[in-house]
Amino acid sequence: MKTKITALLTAILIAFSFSSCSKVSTQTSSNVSSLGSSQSIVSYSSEESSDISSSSIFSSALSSSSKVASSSKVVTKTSSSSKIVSTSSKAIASSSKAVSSSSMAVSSSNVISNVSSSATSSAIPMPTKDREGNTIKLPAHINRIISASPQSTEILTGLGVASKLVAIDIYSKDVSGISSDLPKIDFYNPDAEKILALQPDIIIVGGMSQSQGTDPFKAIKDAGVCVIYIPSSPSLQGIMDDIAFEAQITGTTDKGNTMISDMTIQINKIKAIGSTITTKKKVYFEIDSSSFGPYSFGTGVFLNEILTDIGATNIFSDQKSWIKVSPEQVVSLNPDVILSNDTYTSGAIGVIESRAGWGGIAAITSNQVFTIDTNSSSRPSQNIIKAMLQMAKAIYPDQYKNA
Amino acid sequence: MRKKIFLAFIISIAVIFFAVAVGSVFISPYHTFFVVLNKLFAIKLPQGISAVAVPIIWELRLPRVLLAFLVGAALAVSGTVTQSVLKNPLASPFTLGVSSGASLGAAIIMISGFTLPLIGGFTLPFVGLVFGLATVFASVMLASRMDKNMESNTIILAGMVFSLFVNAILTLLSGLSKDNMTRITQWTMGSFAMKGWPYVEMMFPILILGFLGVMFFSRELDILTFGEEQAKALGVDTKRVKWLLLGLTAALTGAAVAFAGVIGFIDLIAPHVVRRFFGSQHRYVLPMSALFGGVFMVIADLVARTIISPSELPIGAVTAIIGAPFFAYVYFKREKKV
Repeated sequence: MKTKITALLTAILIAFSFSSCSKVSTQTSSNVSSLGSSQSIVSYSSEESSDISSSSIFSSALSSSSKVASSSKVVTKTSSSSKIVSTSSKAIASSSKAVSSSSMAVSSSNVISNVSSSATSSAIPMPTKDREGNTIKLPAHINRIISASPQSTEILTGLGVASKLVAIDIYSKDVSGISSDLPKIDFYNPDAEKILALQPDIIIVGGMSQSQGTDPFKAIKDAGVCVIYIPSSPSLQGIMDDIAFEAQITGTTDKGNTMISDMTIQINKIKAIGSTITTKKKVYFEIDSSSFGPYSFGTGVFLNEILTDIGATNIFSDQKSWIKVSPEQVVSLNPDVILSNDTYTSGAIGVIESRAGWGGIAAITSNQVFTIDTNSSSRPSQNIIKAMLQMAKAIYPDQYKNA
Repeated sequence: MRKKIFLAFIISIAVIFFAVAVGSVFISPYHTFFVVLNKLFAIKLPQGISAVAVPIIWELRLPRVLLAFLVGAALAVSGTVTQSVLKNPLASPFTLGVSSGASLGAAIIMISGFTLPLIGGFTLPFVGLVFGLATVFASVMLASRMDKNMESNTIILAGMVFSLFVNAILTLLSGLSKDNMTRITQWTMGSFAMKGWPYVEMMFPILILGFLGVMFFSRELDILTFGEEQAKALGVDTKRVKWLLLGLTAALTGAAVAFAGVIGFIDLIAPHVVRRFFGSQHRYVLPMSALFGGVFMVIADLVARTIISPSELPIGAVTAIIGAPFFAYVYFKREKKV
């Protein structure tokens, strides 16, 4: 009997210590996960489980947008050549006339060629602050980059510096042009030893790493590695500013400007069509179609801006940031089109159409339920244009036939 | 006593109607009433009723409120029975590992993406139920091996060991499959959203059968509360009764957890609150626990879905947040009087 009791006690102790230590790890990464390779899903999950983290996302989004101005100011102050760049991109962005955009592109490319000649001749003073406003000290040469943010991996690949990547986060592995042999890191619980051993010059970290309220990269920062924060941008302009920033630090300003002007041309094209649409369709965009959702978003999310640019109205435009949606609200707001970028839930369209009480929604009776590519619609990078076109064609197939 | 029971019924019906009438979309109570009458007795709808009122009331809110009631009732009854059988005011079916077992089953389904033929969408609750039951039986088996008499403390101890062990496996699994971790966490927090009529239709017979089953043993439960020796002396086969009652509660809780997720607290407080008002005779305590648990869950769900509308809170958090102060109030207020 005694031995049995001792055995039992040991078992309890083992089980208890096991579960308590594993609880710690769940706390750090519980609302984390399921990002199923998409940034948006991540953000809502943290929003769901605690208000604190959601407000931190939102405030970081806000702060990043307010910091856009200050960072571009730094650029203009520090170098005359990049001044030309920033003003030209501003000019492109502010031009609302789609007709003139093509001629603008030509003129901007002239400017770019000017810049590139001056850029190669002398070292451009680098930014002293990252996209979150933290003071950074960039190393003289950046040849070894770790990207712990899928959108940054996409942007860096677009800039043609994928070869400088020495490690990526686990969600970046499906970015095209990325070698499958690259070491993978977990951006919520980065393995500091492994990262230091890779001897990176810089580490680019996305907004999600701080969504838990703590900075998992602090130890790495303290060890002297330059950690650069680029929070998820809430707007299309913010995405372009991210691209400009990453182009500048990697010495690919001209490539970055081409990417930005390409994006601007595409966005203006869509905006031009969108502005001609007078009877706007009401759209419900779902980012999680599983039984744990549904989740959607209000203002302060680039997807909301895209819907507006396309010429549609988000049914939750009176809300802010990522939200968990009440099914009865959707029934009551009666959207004309339902979009879902949840490719994680199998047969999302069928799931949406067969929901109890949803049968009478206009979008469902008229078969206007569509899926949108998950990665391009959830990561704030240049690939957002792909999602934008897909959404435009799904909502207004006739108007965007040739877009 | 009659008066009290009658009052409890009136309050319950009022709460249920109120919960159906209130939601993130405003529909007047008058229209709500007519939608229900229309569906039940084919009474004509009044003029000017919104087109979305019918699906919102009938397909979204009513089944949700009813499911919340059934699940709350099942949890409360199980809690009462477990506390009486184990003679421990802190025991609950969750102590015996139902919730951890069901969570593990659900997690395995979520990670593997496996769907059983025939039942399709119900694979998750079904597997959850099976795993929940299996965990309880395993822990009771372990207890009966360790202790021939199946002393209550042995059962609790074995249950704790098992649920901790199963929890550890669950944590391991979710740690290995990070993509699914949020889903698993959310599932364990519980929700009544978008479940619809099929869930109500399945939960209802389970609750009725389980409830009748435990009511049949109300006399044995009364005797068991005096202590095992007395019960044996009065001719109660304690071991057999324990097995049967724990099995029934495991089925009730397992079904509740499988359909709505792990919603704690109700199973713990319902018996205490009900005993304060209705004494300790199980033929009163059991039905009143069911009523109290059901109404409490309906209120908790109402808070969960309206307080930050159009968003929703996890129900498990709400039951504890409004339950703990309420419990303290009921407990200490009565204490003073006595």
